[in-house]
Amino acid sequence: MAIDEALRHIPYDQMEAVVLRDLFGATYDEIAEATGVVVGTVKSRIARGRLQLFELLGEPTDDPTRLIKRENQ
Amino acid sequence: MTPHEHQDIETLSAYLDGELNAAETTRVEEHLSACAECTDRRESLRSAALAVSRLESLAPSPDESRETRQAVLQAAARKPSIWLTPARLAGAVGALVLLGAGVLGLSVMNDESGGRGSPGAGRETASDAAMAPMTEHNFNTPQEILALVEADPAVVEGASMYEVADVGARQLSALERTTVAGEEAEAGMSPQGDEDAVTPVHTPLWGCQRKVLQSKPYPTMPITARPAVYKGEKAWMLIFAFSYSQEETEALDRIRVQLVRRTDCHLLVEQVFKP
Repeated sequence: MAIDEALRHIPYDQMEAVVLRDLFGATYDEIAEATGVVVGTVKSRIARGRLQLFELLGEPTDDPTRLIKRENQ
Repeated sequence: MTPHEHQDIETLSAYLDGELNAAETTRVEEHLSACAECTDRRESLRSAALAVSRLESLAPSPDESRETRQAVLQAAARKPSIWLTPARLAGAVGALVLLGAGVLGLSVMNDESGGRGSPGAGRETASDAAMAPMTEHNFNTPQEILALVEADPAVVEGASMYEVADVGARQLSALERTTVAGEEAEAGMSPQGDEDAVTPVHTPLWGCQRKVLQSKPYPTMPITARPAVYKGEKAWMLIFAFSYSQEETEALDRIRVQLVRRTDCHLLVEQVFKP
């Protein structure tokens, strides 16, 4: 599964935190302030989000277009 | 936690981000040097983080990065916070680019901008006539959208009412299937299902840009579609509450399809109220 697809499969709060951190380089403090939660929650969301993303990245895609492309290769 | 105990994923993840203090960092490093299992988990977390960071098409350019990040965080810290998410349905892209309302320069569309032709439309109806109905609508149900469309049959050029009324959520999957069917034909495979009866109309959603804004607090209002201008482009602004519900998500997709199809306005700006 591609990363863009995987991001749609994890809880929104986790995706939000991971994207803020990894795409925008925000610190945990900044994310906590921006999303209105404590730093511990941000830490947890990022960790769980990344772990789920990693697992999803190893799974087959559920996008039929991609699947066919893969089968044709 | 001593250096000999396995590190939890929160700690490993925060370690990758440099969010641990000196003592914690030392402790984690000591453990990692002696524990293959935790090193593997750290690498798993790292590879996921790396994959997200490589979403190049969605990331701001290096020049914009710092400015964008500041704007995002400032905007997110305000109440209501507003997020911007470009997403393409075709590629199932769901990642975020985040900007504040001030950065957006979003304004309610006025008459002067109403006459501008839509990109790639190439039809007369795509400009003045089609854009004229871009007044504010409140949609509680897909039926209300259908009523709107029925009141203005011109918007469904190329499509029968059956398609509009019945395809609804299936419209997206039908379009998707069409794309797949083309590839299946090349590969000598046969498309399945009876969806051939549905002639897919122009597929604006594939080419459209979708921007999502996220706000707090949770609203009690129905889904609202409002004409707007985003960075000089005509846009539909969709305002709704975020939902994990499949039913509501599909209803939203129907609304998106209808809005984009009926106006040839290829830009959806979405303001999502987060519960």
